[in-house]
Amino acid sequence: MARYIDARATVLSAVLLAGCGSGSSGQGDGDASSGSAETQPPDSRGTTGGETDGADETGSTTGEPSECLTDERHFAWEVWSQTLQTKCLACHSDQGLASATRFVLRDDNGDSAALEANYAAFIDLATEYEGDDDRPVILRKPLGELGHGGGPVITEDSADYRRLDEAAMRLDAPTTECADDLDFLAGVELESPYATLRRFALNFAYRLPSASEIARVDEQGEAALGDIIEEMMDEEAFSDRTAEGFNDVFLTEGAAFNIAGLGTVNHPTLLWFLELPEPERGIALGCTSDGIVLAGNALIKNIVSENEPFSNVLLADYTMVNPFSARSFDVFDDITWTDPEDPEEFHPAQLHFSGAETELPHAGILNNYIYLDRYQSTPTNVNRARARAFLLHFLGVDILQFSPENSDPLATIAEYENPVRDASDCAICHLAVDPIAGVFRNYQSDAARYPGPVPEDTFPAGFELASDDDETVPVAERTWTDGLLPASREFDALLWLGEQAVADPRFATTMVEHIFGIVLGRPVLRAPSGELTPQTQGAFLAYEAQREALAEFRDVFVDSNYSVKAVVKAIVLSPFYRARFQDADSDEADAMRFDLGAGQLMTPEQLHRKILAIFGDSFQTYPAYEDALMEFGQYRILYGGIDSTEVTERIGEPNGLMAGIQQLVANNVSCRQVSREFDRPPGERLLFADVELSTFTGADEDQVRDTLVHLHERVIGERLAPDDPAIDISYDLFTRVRDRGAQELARGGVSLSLGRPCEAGSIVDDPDYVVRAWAAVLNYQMQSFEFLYQ
Amino acid sequence: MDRRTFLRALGAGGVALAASPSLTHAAEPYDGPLLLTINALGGWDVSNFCDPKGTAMNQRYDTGDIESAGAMNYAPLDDNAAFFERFHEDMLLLNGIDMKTAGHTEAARHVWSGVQADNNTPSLAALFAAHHVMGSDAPTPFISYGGFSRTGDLVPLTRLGNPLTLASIGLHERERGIPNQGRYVDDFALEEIYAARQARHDAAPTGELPRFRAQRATLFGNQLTVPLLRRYQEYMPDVNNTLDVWQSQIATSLACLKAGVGASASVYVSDFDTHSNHEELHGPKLMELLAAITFAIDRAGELDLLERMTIVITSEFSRTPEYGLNGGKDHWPNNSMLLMGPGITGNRVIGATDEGLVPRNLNLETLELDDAGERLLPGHVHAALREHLGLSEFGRDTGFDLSLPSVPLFA
Repeated sequence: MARYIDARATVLSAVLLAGCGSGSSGQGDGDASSGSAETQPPDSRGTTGGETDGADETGSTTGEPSECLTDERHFAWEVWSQTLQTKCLACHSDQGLASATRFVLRDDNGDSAALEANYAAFIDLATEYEGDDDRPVILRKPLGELGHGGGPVITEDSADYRRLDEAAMRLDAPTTECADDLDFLAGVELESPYATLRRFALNFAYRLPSASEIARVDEQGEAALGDIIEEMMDEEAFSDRTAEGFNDVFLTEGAAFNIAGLGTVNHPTLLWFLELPEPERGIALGCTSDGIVLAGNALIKNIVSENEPFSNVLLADYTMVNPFSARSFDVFDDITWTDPEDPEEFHPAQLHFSGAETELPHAGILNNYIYLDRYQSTPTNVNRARARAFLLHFLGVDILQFSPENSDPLATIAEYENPVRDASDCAICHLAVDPIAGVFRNYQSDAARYPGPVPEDTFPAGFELASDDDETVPVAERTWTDGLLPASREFDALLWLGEQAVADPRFATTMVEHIFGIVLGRPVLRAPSGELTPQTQGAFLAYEAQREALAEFRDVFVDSNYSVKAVVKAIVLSPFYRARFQDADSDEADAMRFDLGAGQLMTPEQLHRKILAIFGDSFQTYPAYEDALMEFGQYRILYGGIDSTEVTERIGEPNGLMAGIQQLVANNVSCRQVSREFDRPPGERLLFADVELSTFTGADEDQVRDTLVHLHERVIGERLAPDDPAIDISYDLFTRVRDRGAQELARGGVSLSLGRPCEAGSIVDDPDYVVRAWAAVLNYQMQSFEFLYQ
Repeated sequence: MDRRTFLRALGAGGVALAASPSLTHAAEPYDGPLLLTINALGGWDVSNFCDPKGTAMNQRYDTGDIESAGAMNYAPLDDNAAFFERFHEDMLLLNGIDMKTAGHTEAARHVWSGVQADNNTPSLAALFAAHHVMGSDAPTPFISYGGFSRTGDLVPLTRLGNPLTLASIGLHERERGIPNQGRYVDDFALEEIYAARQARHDAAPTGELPRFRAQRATLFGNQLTVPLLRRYQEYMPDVNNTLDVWQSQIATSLACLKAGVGASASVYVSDFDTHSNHEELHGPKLMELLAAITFAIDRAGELDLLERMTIVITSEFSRTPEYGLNGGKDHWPNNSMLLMGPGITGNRVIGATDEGLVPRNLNLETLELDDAGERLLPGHVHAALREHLGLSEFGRDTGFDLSLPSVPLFA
């Protein structure tokens, strides 16, 4: 059985094996009050601990790495991650300069099979000797001996050499087991089904779970959770959120798009709006540009919402248009519009080129105008920027990592007439990039139709290097045969490229990594580097566990015909999304589980939507009253967001300025929403449904506590009893602010009026300071970890 | 555990949290050394600026027209004369730095961190802030407007926005951050909210996975620093609305440094990547850069920061000696760097290029030109800068040691 996909079974079995069986972890026992991290005071939450086969056995916290490493782990942690992957893989891969040698490595791609194959390749050369009985070939080649095509790569006094040497020596005295191996999940406790339901609903359905959905998980526990998640994924918000997440990868919203660059030769009605008078012309121009700029995200959204295989990101035979861009591409009349003036209404369409003898079939996002525009070609990079983006986005290959550190480009330029092709320091990357750049030949620098520039006198368009059994043959003399772009595919070259990519196992792995990042809010782990310490050992264990899980998720992806929803569901139900507690209290356990669980600061978009879902209104500031967290000119970038152009990486670790924004948001929203609530009829309220302001002027503690119980659940997802210590804190806050406010009012220290920032309709004054006391409670809740993190 | 160590632990593995700080703790502004880095984003043409060649390499001037100010030669173009005449006594100019690469990403990493490999080494500004904020309450220790800003998980990165937005964050209890505008919340209510937050923090669940404990502590630690944010407004220039985008970056950054809310700032001037119409486009960009540098120095002087602040100015690389398609110039893996600040002796030029803009070898002990020597690399420069700024040991301790030795740039 897959280890990580059925989290309930896995963790529960770990708990049972541990012999604790307290039953308080709420694994689907139907008791809404049990198992929730939020429902139980820490001391009353039953531990899953006891004598687990994990942390307790690890014993000491000596600060020294574990002395026992199995040979496989030594190879994976030391030899592969530190040396082979960084020093050898670029050439010794199936697309590298040394692809024709017997030492061909595979990027591990999250599956143990690749690592096993690499270990086998290592053993092959570690057990072969050529003229030196003391040093096997694996030690001599990287020193530049035995005609190593790449020359010397390491030195004999380097850590790399020592690692290879030790791995080779280990073959004589194998270590296959270590008694103190830690179990990654033993003693790990998941959050309650309710907590997972709430987080998923806010993140992917842009709403709170409904009462009936909550009742289902309360009654059926885990069994209902998966079903409800599936139902939520059919809502529009899910595909919207998925597209937003993929934009963090593709960044197409950040294209500096100029519609005129597409040219009217291919699309004679491109600039249809020029016939309009102002201001309609300007509005239509903006909506048309939006239709093209957002077409990449719209494609993702359509693939997901229509349950198409996600391989269509490369293979879809359509693009997306809104009513305005549809006019530019002369397909408006082919589509039945719900609202032909709505720029956010997108439909699939196939574009045709006016007067062209040949069509250029769609190839998913690859020849979407906005993807081509976001990754523009220039006369000097001749589509290489697009090839680099393709490799990174769809095969997970960061070609810049291949760049050799100790090269001398100035000397290379002087020595070679065609260094890109003939100098190994250059060819190491260009061998992978240039053939793909050539496949973009049908598009010009600004995305318009062909003829576009291609790299000349370099590697031709193709995907595979023909077999060549001699690594010493200069690159320039190598031949390319079967892997060339078939002549019949000249005009659908990008579709051909997409087909090659989808058939490559790295495509599924890369897509799953992207999806994992979207769900968890942070990228997948990379293999640690540096000397082994307790922390790096733990990080390796975390990395291994995540890679194993990613391999399982990838299988789900492939088996479901590339279904995003299937993968999201698997991740959400796994410990990587749901783990919250551990029974261990050791440095080793902490080091190993440093990245386990959600606990991610929400993005500005997520925070905006959460506020909207909980309060029915957003964070808005005078005088514009826009959605201030969503505005680039206000708080979106400052709160760690991206503009997909200049700022392309989100800030995951908050700074003091972001804490200031959190405080501003809490001040603003709490102040505005309490008065808005009480200005509404009781039946329309979200926070104070059954009470009035007058209810709280006296000392009816029960009424206050009951209201606090509702607020704690609605605002921060805590399901508490009225006498819970957390309710006590809120109760004290409410009463102290109310009472101090009353005193201040009596002595004229504060205003009777709420003033513009906080008044709403009939709620203008606050004579008993009750509005502001409730605002203080909401304010406090909105600055909590439970509110700001997801 | 301070926030710096905490972030590092979060990135690398184990987290062990010390006792939580209290929200009643009074935040103290940072008043130590400062660093400002100015980035000519896209790759500047040093032959039109501080490493002039003329004639064959530059359409706009001849070799014989090259001018000099003190020890520095400069291209006789645009605003160069005014700039070098004014600042040459204060500047150390490094020419002929071998970048080893002509790719934007890799070169930016190399020139701003001293490490070519992609191994998470932080930028100089991030390392500087991480070291100096230890034990401080600075809410925005490392400010970056763009360019290479890797932190190595040592320090949080802060992006700043326009001054009005920042004011609203600093004075968050008031509408629009304006002192006489309506209040969102009264001060005594804020006190009670702080007390409740403290009580909640103290009652945080036990047994949480390290990630949750770490994030809780980060959140709480950052909340402590918020009161300092409003101090920066005091130091914004009155002419704010007349500043261009680069000057606004600098003015806001320097106000934050002066206010003690940060220790380092990285600003930039963009669009130097002139692959076409080079001479027409690049000159104005260099003038914008020189105006930005001049503004930074003037403003830092007004704020009395120059005694505490080191300034580093460079780019990813230079431009090719030859003109390419459409009159453009492509990437060229040679570079220059300007350094100013306390302890830096000006009116000196170290390193050189040959007539083809290829870095010449130096004796790395004497820094004299020496064909038998080696090329000056970003790693050498950063080792020297780290030594000069007191960061060498910190770099080693945090796992970001440099593989190259220091050179006596500041001796």
